[in-house]
Amino acid sequence: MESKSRKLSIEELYMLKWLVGSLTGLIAVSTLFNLNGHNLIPARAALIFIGCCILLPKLYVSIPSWGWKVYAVSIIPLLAIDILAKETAPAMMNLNTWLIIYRSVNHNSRREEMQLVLLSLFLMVMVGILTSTIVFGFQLLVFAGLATAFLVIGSILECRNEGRPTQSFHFKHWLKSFSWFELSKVIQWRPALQGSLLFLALISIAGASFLVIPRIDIENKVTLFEMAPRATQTGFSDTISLGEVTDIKKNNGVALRVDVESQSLAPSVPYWRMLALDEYYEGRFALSEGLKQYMNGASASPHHARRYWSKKEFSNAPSDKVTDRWTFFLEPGVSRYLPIAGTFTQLTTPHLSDLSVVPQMHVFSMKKPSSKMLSYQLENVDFSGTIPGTAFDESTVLLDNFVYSESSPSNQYPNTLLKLPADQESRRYLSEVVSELIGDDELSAAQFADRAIQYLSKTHRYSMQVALPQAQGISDPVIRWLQSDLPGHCEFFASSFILLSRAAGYPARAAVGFKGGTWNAYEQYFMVRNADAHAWAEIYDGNGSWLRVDPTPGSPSPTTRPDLVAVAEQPSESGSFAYMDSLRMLWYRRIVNFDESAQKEFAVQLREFFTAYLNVAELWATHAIFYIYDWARSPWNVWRILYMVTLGLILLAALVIQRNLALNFREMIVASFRRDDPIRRKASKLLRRVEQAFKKDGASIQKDWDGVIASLRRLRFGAKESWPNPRLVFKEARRLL
Amino acid sequence: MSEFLPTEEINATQDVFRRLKTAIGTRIKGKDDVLDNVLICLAAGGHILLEDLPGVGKTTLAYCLAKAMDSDFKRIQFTSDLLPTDVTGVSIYDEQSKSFVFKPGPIFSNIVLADEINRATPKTQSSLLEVMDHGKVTIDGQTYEVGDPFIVLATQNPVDYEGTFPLPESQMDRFLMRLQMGYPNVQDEFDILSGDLASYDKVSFDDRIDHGEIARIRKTVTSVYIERSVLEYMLNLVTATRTEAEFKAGVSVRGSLALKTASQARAIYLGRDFVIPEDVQAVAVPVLGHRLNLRRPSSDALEERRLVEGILSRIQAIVPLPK
Repeated sequence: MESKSRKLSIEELYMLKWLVGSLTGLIAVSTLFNLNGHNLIPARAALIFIGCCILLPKLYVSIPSWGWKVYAVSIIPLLAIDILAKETAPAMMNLNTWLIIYRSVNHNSRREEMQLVLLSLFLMVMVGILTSTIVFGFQLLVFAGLATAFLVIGSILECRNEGRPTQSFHFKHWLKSFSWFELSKVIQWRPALQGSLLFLALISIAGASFLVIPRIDIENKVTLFEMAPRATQTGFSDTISLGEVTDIKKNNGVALRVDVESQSLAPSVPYWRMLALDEYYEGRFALSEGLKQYMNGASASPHHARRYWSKKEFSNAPSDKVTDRWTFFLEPGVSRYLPIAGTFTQLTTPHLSDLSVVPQMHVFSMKKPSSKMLSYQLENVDFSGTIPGTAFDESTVLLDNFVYSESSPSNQYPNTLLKLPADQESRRYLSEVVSELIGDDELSAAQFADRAIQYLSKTHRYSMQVALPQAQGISDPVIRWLQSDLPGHCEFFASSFILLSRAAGYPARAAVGFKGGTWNAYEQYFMVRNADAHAWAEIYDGNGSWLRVDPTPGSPSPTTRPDLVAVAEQPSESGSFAYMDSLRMLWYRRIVNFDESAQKEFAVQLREFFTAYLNVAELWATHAIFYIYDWARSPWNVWRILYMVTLGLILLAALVIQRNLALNFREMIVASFRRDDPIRRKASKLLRRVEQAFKKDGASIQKDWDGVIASLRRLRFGAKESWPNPRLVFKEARRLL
Repeated sequence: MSEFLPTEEINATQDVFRRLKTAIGTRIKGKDDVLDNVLICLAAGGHILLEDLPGVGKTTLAYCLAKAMDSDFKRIQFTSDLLPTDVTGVSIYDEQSKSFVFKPGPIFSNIVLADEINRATPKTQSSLLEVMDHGKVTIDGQTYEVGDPFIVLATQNPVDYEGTFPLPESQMDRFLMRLQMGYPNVQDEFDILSGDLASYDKVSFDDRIDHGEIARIRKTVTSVYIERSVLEYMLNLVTATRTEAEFKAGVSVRGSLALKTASQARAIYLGRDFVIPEDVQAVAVPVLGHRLNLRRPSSDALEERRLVEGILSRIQAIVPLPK
């Protein structure tokens, strides 16, 4: 009893406060790791230093006070460097981090505690503006708990000290001879547990209010500051450059998540097209200069783009038509180009003003790469692989009447669609191959594509590593590869195909994006990894459309339409990685993207859940009633009667035993969770009831009651050795009541 | 506390109290609550400060108590020229034995009535400190035991303040309880008037208690059991007086010990060998009241007492009873 109720000494409380305070700082600093493109040196330094101080308090104590003074002064040049090198926001965050390093291990007065909490909070808010990952959500939760605990311990200490200033020197001295193990021995788990439960309750209330509060789209209303994202993680660039040596590294990080109803249809190997490239120059495909200017100009806005397509809509709110909807979540820093699966009727994104549309190339891009998870939605996606040209595109007219002429493919779109390597030898080689392919036949674009693919796959295999042979006369890497029998990756296959098509007179362009992806069954979505990055070709069919041609071996033929399968039946992943990733998806889907419609959906689901529950309960009750009815109606025999009698006797015995115990079963179970004596507790309860009844009935029955009250009082307040039999007293009290 | 009291002893104790109360009750009419508290102090071995107007029976009460216990009674009338030696006694030179012989003062008795104690100088008042604490007097390095039992009943007039020296807090702290007599109600005063009550020094009782009994009872008081939650309750009460803004200072540790002893004494007085929260509540005001001073003292002592006791009752209402 005594050991349980021992209060923590002042020193132990200080210790605990110091620990919780440093942990608060640590958590705040650790959130910086969620940011892309932020200088992580201060964060790493803080993490290591605070962590070491927590693990080895002796280390912290051994830092002399002048050491801290030097540190305080040295923050100024650090800040100056930051401000000179970068914009203000990262500099502020770095300054904040430097200050937290100092404050999270040095906090003695109330003022300093507040400073630590405020500094940490400031950092958390800044990070919160810039990121919304699930890890950050978790950190925020831990931070809230720690900061609350920190302030509570501070208040307890202030109460215990009765406002006297704290003795930091003494505390430091004491820290020298202390280990965390000792603290764990004296800590009271009961209040700690109660505190945690309270905190959990608070979080649940906050969660519930999150579900019901009206939604405000903060993102469009508050534009604070943006940080440039880290250099693209995947090496996903907006050109295709074929160098001498290529070695593609597998990056298994998820680049794109696609959220769609599980009944929706999709080809088993979907293509997520991001960008098409027209101009070719010495082994390098790129967007021609005119299109680039167009893309960055004002006329690339969605508003202008509507002129090109009668059936395409751009909006910041989903349409009210009932269609299949594909929601895309593009990881920060992957690309500024939106992966688009085929064509669609509406593109919905909250960042409509940042969207650039290049109708000629069917490319949709943000003005700059996003530092945050980017989400957008497509409606009525068509996976057929044919990209329609634009109705008012003068290039269509040009392309329809196009006749290949040796003379002058200029650098202006759409002439770039036919641009070939500049040197004559390459062109000669290409036309040799083309005449071998076509002969005298009159071929449609698709037929030509079939033949070209067969030709390519005859001589080349697929490989991720490519080392081209020594150049002999021809410098163009694609032609050199074409002449050889070397294996190659998708970019070589696509480039070769495009050059062959162009040589044969079919306008062609390169397409870049992702191919494939796996279905995550945990949260029902597509995961497309960075390793799924792919390049393929598109060839103009002469009738206003572009055909997708993937010349890489193992790809579907361009002449056959892909089979559509329900997405839920596609190859799925079920490993631990998929599970972890599904948590991220859950976060984005349910928390970050929780808008008004999701709120409605949630309410409907809730109602369905309860009605389903009600139905089950009703069913169960009906079953139970029928069972009892059947059971009662079935014929009785000796064994059954005997069984029932025994059961009745057992129940009776249990009842009798129960009545004769001082404590009932519930009280016995509850007693193990409580600190005080269960008999005293029960006596107290009965005493109160008896006294109340006594007050009501007056003194007329005093004689009967006196004895009981005296006995109950003895049980409640008397020495244990002098107790009467509690069972009899309780029984008597119950009889009187 | 392994040893607890046998029932016979409790019954015997109660019998003693009943007899004392009946005996005194023949002279002091209608003052049951005061009598109860006086007897509780007797059991606890504490001193009593009777604070009331003159002529309401303070002296009679003290005298009756002494007579009922068949013990010595001395009365000291405190005046401003009273010297400490007038209280404790003095060594005087004896011609025959050629040495100093100690002549005990009036304090050497069982029941001492210190009448109008606030009329004496602080010097004289302080001479009571040691004797009230230990029941001993030290004069010229020689320690003498006063009587056993030893109870000081001091009286004080709260209205007539002219030429008085208010008791220092240290002195106040040594009284277990401060009690008020108050006027008797009409019926009781009628009885007093109609009765043939001689002056108090002619009082004598047929049924007298041997004062050895009292010493025995005092020993039993310390073995009255106090459950943990009740102790915590006392502690909470005392702590509440210390954080109360209206008080200059809270109750001392001696005060909380007094609260404990008085509660134990009340329990045994009512025939119980354990303390219940009611005991604490009943003795809280008389035990703690005189130990507390207001931060803004009132000019009127009666008014101040009412205020202090009001705050005490408020504290009692706020501090939760043990469940």
